[in-house]
Amino acid sequence: MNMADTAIEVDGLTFKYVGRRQPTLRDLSLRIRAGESVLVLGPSGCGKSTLALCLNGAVPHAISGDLHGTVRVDGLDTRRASMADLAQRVGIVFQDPEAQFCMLTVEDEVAFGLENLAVPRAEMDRRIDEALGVVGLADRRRERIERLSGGQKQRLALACVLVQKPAILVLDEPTAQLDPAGTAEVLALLGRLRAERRHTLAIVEHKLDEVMPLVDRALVFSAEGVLMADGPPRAVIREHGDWLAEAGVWVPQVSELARSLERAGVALDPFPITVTEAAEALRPHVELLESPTPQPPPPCAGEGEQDRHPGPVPEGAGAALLRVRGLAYQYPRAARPVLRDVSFSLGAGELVAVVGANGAGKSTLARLVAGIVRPPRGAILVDGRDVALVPPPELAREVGYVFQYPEHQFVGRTVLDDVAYGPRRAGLPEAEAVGLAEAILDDFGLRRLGPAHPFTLSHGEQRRLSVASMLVMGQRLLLLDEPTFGQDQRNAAMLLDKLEALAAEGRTLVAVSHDMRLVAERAQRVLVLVDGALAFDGPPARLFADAALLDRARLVPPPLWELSQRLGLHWPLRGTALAPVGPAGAAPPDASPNGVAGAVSEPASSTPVGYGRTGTGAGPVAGGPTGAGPAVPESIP
Amino acid sequence: MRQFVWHEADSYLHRLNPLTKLALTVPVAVLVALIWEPITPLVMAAVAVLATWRLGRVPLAGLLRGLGFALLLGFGMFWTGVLYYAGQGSDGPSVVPGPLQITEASLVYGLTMLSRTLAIFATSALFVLTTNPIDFVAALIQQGRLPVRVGYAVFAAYRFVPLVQEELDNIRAAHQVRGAAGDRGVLGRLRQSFGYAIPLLAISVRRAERVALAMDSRGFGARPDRTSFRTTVFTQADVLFGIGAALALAAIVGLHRILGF
Repeated sequence: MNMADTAIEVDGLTFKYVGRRQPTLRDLSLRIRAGESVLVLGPSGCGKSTLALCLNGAVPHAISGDLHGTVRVDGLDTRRASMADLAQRVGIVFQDPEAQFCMLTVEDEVAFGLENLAVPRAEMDRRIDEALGVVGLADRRRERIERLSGGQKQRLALACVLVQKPAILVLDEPTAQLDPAGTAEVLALLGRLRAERRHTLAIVEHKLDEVMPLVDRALVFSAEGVLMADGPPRAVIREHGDWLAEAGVWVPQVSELARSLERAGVALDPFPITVTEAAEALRPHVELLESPTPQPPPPCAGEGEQDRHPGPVPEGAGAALLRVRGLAYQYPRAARPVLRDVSFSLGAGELVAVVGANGAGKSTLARLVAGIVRPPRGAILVDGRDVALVPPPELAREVGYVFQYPEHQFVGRTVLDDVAYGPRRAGLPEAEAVGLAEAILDDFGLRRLGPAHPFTLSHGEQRRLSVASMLVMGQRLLLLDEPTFGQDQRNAAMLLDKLEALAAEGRTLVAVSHDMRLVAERAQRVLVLVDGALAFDGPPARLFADAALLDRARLVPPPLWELSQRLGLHWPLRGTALAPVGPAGAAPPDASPNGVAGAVSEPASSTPVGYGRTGTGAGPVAGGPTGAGPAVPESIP
Repeated sequence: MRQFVWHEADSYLHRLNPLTKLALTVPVAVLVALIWEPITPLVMAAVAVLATWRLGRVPLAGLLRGLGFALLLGFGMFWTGVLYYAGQGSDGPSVVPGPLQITEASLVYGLTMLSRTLAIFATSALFVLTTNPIDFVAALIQQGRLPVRVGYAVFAAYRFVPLVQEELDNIRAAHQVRGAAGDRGVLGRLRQSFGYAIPLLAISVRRAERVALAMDSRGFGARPDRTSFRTTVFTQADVLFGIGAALALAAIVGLHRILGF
């Protein structure tokens, strides 16, 4: 192959971080042609981000470690070239929109890259305008960065690297922290760049249904950092499907569905990796996906948006556990209220999602309910008691709040201490506190990690620990901020199974989330906030059917919903005929009976396809209601 | 304190070199340290506020709100000065009725402390409110000969303050929902702060690393011949400001000498 055609050339690359025992990447060799668009897949911690940093030379220039082998970008050896030369060849966009800027205004930020390259001042204005034009921020040139939305910030990050005119763009989960509308913005921009074919793209991303049309090659890494597969995305996902599912790697939802159908004996051709392809391929098999009990049709014109159906409440539910009445809130010194006249009630055993664009007031609502932000009197009642008047330690026994970043909430030096913190605070005798903690750790499959420091746990374990700690006192209301954030497919599914089991026990769960898949497949009811007002309260199927509302709330339905619409099917899609996703026999020996109970064994139920309900490999957390420490009352008076 | 940051506008003061405005704080600090009476510093404060308002186009309301903090601090200084003054005249007759012995000398001392605080804050406000922090860093590097790395490190730290505050709020909230709000007393508070410190440090370090990585990835510090988007220079306006400020200070000090207050 001609040198000029090769954009990236990796030979025998092995990299080990200082202080780690095992290398993060092992003996990697690959070539990427100029203009190619490559997707990087793998379970969390498999070295995807490390590869990104190796490609732009941050390894070894900014991050030291044990590096073997060579990386050439655009013919330049990353080890020998300076970061300034590398920056003109490889641009990188990171996941966190808050942590990649160092200036105050948009133009200063874009100019920063030009200054570093010693571009003459006279050339700067033209190049800044050009780069901002490409990402659609030309009219925001003098804006302060903090005033941009998440999607705009990520587009700015892209402008900041484009201005340096690199041939290669590396994107490390650019949409992970964005709301659905922001994600769509960034992906549309990537689509335009890809259509121009002027750049070589390397993309790490979890929202695969949306990314698939943008890539022509997929690399799959194992948890040990070994390149497992390399080829066209369709072939990779089809051939390595079992392995991907077992390792917890996200694959397109439509591919998950296709694999389930394949197991049930219906092979689709071509194997779909996008919604469009799936709609084509599934048209002859529509009857397999038709829901046996059609949901009520979308609301007719006469019906109001704010219907207050309590939603399906499991048996044993009594009066409302949470009652919010005419809640309005404005932060001190803020110009506008964050919440305006919000009213709703939640009963025991409900699993509810709160959605809306960034800044719509979702987090504030959850924080007010948890008493983190003091609510106005009489607006929020938990079990009939005014949250504004209950002392925080007492409220903490009733209401748990799981933070988006688990590290924020760890208070113990060991996993056991962290869980036992609540009971000890509440003044329980030591033996009882430890007993409660151990019981719930058992329930969440974390018992063996008891002596470990919480910060040393994996992402999935940290998330489970953060939930366990918030339930140890038998809290009846649990609020979760982006529970699936940063989780791989397997951990997300396990966690959501657990949440469903908790709801079945009679606990009330409220998840604030941008994850429309969670909303569509797991929530019984969804609350939509638009500019601080409650714009919708009802079942997810009704929300996704209302295009005008989705637009107003800046929401985008998940891929499977999209598919069901194109096929003219009711939501949820039926999964009764489908085998569980994942390889047979992959379940760990301690998987509980509930965990392995795939849809096949219960043909009568209408288990919806989706969030890769952990058919197998569920591990202990999928274990449904087990003795979770303090008893939850059968019915709440 | 949130009002006490850069007010975005275009004005005579905004266009000055940041170092010129910063330099003004030096003679003011020296003069108020030398002058032992409350009126002269107060006049300086008033002139600085007037200049920031008229020449800097900073709304008076916001400016005074920002100075409210200085007033609060100044009152603390005032009371400390009044109550603990032990210099000349501290054993004279009390000028206010009541159990406290407050002599005229101690009252003057307290008022001097208050007006000094106001003078220094008002002069600093003139600098802070009319200066884009990026320009300040640029001037420090271009005219102040500060190494580029140091200049940007200072700036990064400045940018970091609100982010760290946000993280701290998050951690505090997390502890609260864990039932930790019951800590009382010095020991309890101390233990609580220690509980915040470790996650805050871990999170801040990680965030700082990410920003540093993003900066390095864009070639920061890789070339010695770095150019600059914002150029700060000394112009005639700066000379004019210097002369004006010198004249104003001279006039105020002159009045102080002539009228002898």
